[in-house]
Amino acid sequence: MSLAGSRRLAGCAPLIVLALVSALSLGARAYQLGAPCVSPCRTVSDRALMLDESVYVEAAQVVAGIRPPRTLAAGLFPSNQGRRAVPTPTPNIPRAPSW
Amino acid sequence: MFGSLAILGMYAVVRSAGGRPWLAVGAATLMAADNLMIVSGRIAMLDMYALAPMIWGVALYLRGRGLAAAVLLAVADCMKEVSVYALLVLGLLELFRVLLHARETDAAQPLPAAWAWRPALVRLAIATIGSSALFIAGLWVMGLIAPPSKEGAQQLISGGPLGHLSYIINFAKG
Repeated sequence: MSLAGSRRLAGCAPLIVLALVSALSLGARAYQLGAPCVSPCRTVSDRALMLDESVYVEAAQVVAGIRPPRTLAAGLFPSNQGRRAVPTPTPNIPRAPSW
Repeated sequence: MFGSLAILGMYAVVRSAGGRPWLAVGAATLMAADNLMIVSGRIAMLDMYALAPMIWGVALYLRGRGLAAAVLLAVADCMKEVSVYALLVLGLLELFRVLLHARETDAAQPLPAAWAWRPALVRLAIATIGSSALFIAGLWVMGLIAPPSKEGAQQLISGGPLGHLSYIINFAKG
């Protein structure tokens, strides 16, 4: 390798290491992302949510017009109605959390 | 994905602050190895969604892109209100720069003129007022998409974005 090539590679080295660190970090964060899961782990709804995850996930589902499978929003949700099925906001419609 | 953006943002912050590439890689690596960073990046909580635009906003501010920084800080505020602490960081940064500039004694190596109090105040005002205004606008848009409700009360929050903001502040106060 020429001297110029070596210098160019040395100049790029921090960015290469940064890319490597980012990839490893992404892998660490994605590893077993589906856990924890209620045994037997068969459906999406078996996957457990922790802390306030249920609030945010269910709020996102409601905004997307998906009926949350259970828990918090389930008690608020009118029977089998997506968000688009409800023309005007009423206190009975689940909404995104305000915090 | 937002965790990765935040890690890359840390690299950008250090570089924008004048740090060398390897120092920036070191800071990004430390951040990537942080326990809370890994945990928060794995779960569906708001913290990581707030952190990524927050840290990129600071990086843009350090590069002198005040308006772009205000936009990203407003996005971060909309994700989670604790992002407003970024403005505190920027305020402290400007304060230290102004103090250094005021006490400057070495005429041979003068500090940047941009560190004087007047340009610092303008930069900070643009970031603060801009991000606050855009945050309110963001609350308004989010309210159109999903009307905010009071926690556990099944009751809408009235008063538009300002009413929403007031509720958030009171909620945080407990």
